[in-house]
Amino acid sequence: MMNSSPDARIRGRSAVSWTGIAFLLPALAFISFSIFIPTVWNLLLSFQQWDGFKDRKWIGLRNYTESLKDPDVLHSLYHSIFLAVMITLLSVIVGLALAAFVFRLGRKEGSFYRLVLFMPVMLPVAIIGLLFTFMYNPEMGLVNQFLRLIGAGALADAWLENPDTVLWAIVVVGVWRMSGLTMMLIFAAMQNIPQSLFESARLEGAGYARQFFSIVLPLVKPILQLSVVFTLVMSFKTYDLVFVMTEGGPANLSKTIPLQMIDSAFTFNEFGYSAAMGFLLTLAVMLIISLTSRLLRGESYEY
Amino acid sequence: MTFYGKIVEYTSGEKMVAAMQDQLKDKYEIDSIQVDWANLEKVVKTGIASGSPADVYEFWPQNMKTFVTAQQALDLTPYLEANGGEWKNAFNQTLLDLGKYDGKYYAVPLGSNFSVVYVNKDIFDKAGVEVPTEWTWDKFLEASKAIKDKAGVYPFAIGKDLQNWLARNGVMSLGVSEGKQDALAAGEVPATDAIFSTVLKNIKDLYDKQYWYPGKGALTISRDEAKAAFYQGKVAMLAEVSADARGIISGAQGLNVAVASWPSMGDKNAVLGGADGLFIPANAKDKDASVELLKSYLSADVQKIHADEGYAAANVNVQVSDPVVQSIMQLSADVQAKEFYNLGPKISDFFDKELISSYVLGSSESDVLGKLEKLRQQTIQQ
Repeated sequence: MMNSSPDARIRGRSAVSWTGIAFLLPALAFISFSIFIPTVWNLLLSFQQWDGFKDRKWIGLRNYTESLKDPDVLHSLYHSIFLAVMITLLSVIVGLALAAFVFRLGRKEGSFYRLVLFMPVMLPVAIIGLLFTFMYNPEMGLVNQFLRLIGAGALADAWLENPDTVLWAIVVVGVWRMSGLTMMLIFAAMQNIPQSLFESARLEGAGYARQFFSIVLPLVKPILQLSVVFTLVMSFKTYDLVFVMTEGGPANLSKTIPLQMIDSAFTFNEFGYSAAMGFLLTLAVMLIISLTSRLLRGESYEY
Repeated sequence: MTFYGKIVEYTSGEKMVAAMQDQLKDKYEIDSIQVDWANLEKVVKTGIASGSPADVYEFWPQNMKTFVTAQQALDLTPYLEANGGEWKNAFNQTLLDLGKYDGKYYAVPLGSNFSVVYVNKDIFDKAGVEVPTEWTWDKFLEASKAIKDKAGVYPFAIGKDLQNWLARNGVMSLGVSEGKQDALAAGEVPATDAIFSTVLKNIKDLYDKQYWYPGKGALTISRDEAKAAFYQGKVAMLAEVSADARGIISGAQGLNVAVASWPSMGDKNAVLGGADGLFIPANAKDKDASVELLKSYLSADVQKIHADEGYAAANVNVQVSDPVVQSIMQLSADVQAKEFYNLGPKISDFFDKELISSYVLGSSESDVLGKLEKLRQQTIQQ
């Protein structure tokens, strides 16, 4: 007979907790060394002057006050925020639309399209960057060749050189890469919506568009929020894509904070200044994510 | 041990490393790493800051100031001057002196290297233009016009990694012509000087007249794309390093390639250049072993491989016999190693990334040169 006294249950829970903690220890140690300790180290470094070699010197908030006055840092921060917000906004819209279309497809063709649309998420960013650099090539690139082919040669441009198009050219690549993730998450969430809700709506005369906006969208809102936060975080960290495509150029017109940090630390030997920039970016990311979470806060439904 | 100096762009690169590994195989196990030229400074600084640097790094001796100032490079003077200067005397002294700062040697040279213009002679002939041994910027523009009008191809290509050469060579040529080169290199000439303004206007002229491949988008063309266009006959002139002469000539199969000097913006010619070289980080684990590595790599036995492949070696005990390389060596008379660009990392970075592209893409002269002047003042104060 099982012992069900309260004391025994507490003892049992306690034993389970210790086992759980033991299992989590390796992961905790790994996360501590790869994230927590570097974060604290970065914070401490941001209050110091250090050239990466000689002794460090405490200088209080000087790195922060100087970086907030530095037009190069502010421009890079703006580029980081612009890219992250635009890539997230557009890839979520495109991802939602793709999920809506794929949901209507049959099983086999649905699987095919999901695989094809999700593939960019799995590709290495360096490959994607190179691929699109070739596509944007002003002379031989696919984009300009296509425009010439359809008689719109006047629209052909040096996409990665023109100050008006360079950031948008990167946004397009970011959206191409990230929208598959939103599609997959939303599609998975849509699978859990009972068919009876769609059937009732159909009986009431609602078309698919109406069903999507009135039934699907409210029900997948928590997943949508997750997708937005995930895409935002990924886009804010954009270093490799911009580096491969433009190296922050031309004339630093697409330089993001991670690129500015690398230059400050490893070209100018200003590691403390670089750390302060990193912390400012972290604050900006936290602020935008908290605003986004608040905006997209949805109710949970049980069905 | 780790040797960060394998130059795969040189046909001799891997062979020299293999010969060095073979020479020292009984004493050391040597890992060699391919040089990432585009990110070299970042790679070296990251390695040094990590506390576990490579034992030897490839770097340009004339650009070592950033490491010397930060005390990140080992003083090689005692090693060079030991045994009556036996090791020191093995080098071409002009090239060796490029790595000398405040009387101490911090880097040793592998071979000379500078900026040249490779010319497709067939296109020049078609346009009725002579391949020049020396030419002014105006002559260069005249030739470019003739090439564009008569041959119908782009006159000039330069990859974005090398784009700063246009400004650096311009500043040096005008500096030498006006007798200001030493003052420029010492940071004593303000960026508001007419030299900088002339250089910017000349470069913008080249871009605006669509002489710079491929017209719109010229600022973002990679080095490989520029080379490919030259090999395909779409471009008449390619700006590249002198050390890669063999590679470029063999890559341009079937084309009649010649070498021309860099067009000078002033009355006198002056081109950037110096040497490829190597140094030992100050926090290398075993400094004596690192020196042994360097001595082996730069020895006459190993450097003979370099010379046999058609490259100009810095070791004086090795002779260059290739006629193409000999003709390039004649152009090295105009090389200036000390320049404004090397005043500090922020100025170099500004030349690399902003100076030309900002102005060409529409920023005002006062904005661009104002920023350069601010950086010059900051650098001097430091």
